[in-house]
Amino acid sequence: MAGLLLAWSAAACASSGTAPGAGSADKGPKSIDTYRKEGIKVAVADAPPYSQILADGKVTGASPEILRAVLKRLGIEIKDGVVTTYDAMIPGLAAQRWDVVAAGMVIKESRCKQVLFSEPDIVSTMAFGVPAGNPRNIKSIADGVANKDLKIAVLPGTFEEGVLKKAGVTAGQLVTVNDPRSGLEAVKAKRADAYFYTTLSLRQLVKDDKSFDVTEPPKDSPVTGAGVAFRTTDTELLKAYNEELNKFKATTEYVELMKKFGFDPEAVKGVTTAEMCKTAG
Amino acid sequence: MGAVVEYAPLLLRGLGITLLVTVLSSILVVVVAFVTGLARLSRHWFVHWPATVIVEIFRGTSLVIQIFWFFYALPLFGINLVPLAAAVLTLGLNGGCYAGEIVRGVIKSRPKGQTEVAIALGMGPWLRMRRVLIPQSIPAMLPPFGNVMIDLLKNTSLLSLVTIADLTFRAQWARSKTGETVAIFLTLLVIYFALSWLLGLFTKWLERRFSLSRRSVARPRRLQPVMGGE
Repeated sequence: MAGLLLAWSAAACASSGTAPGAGSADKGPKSIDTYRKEGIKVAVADAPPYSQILADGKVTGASPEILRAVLKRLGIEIKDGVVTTYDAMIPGLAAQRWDVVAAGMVIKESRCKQVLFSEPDIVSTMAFGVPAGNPRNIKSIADGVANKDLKIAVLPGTFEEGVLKKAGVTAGQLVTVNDPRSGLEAVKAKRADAYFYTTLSLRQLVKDDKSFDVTEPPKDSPVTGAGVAFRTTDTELLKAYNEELNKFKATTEYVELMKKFGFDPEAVKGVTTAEMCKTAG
Repeated sequence: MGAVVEYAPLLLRGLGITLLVTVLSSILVVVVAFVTGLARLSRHWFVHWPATVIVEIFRGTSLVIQIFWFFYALPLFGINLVPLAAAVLTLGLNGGCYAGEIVRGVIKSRPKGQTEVAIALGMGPWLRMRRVLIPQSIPAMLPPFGNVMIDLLKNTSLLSLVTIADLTFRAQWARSKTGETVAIFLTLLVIYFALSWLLGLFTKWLERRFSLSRRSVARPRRLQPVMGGE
């Protein structure tokens, strides 16, 4: 017990020791060399195949694996992984709880103002998870707008939520759920008629469950380009990261990595962060 | 129940964190409770005002918001507490402010005669408090303190929202991996109930230990002869 207390207070001292200008929030950006020495702390979501943490604590999923491969080229190691929810990712980045977000976070206008996105590394689609046979016949976002009785489950703070709201789905129709699994359970418990989420994650969630179907990606839903997110002060790291990422995307290693997690390696071609940052939401 | 067995080692690790946070915060709760409770009893405005402000702030705002504040907002002011420290501090201050009102209320409700006799015996304010008022207040404080502790234990589950891998966090994670919602939530209910029950037993034991019943009164000691004896 005493040992724990000691370790705890030592850790507390160590963490306050990193703040030389006490009282000031802006500790200045960490240099790439600092990251090389100390490693980097990454936030992920529990949302396979984009990102997840395994039982043994290993961070994996398409987004963290790309991050790991590119950082390795820069001589930086992933030191620690934290599972969190999408709405906490940007606040935690600003609060230095972690240094980078690798959770397949979709690049969009409002987020571009708060974080620095790498160039897109995963381009994918969204779809509806519905009870088997799709009894309410939900095929597009427009269906949700036309029929105000439809309840749609969605994760708060995600791109999907923004897409629905912008299309004109009312707040009363949205059933917000805390984690990816709860979306399916909301539909199961008849609290929602459909669950709007990324296509591959949905397929992974329902793979053993015959009572659910995943629709084709609706034609009226936008393309989602995801990248890793850095703190706004980490411009040096972003620049170096993007250079290596662009080289990495041309390798077969990237293609195999994407295929391993079920993503289309071709989809990312020609998509840029500058362009994705214009996506409203 | 397969998922529960499979994930038992991880759930146990989470349970360890839950217990650690509960024990550390409950120590802080007792300290904060006595500091704020006694400070609010002070006649000096510069002592009771700050205590009142702190108590009202921590009682009057939501615990979830406080946790988020300590975790995501304080670092923006340059105060970067490690997650465990932030957790213990929030839970300890929040619980301590509720418990401080117990301390204040119980001490204030002691019969006036006790204070008057102590004054008549020439005891100063601090000695009165330490030797007369607090000892007889403790039995009355214990049951409500037991409530605060059980509440504290259950509130630790809110820490799962700020990446602290407590029991609830591990369970949510196991649930998201396996989809066995019913079995895992049932296990959670049982574990939290068992822990609360143990805390209840502990409070009962303390109550017996500090009770004012005749049986627990200290055995009379032989009086010291006053003037060298016979």
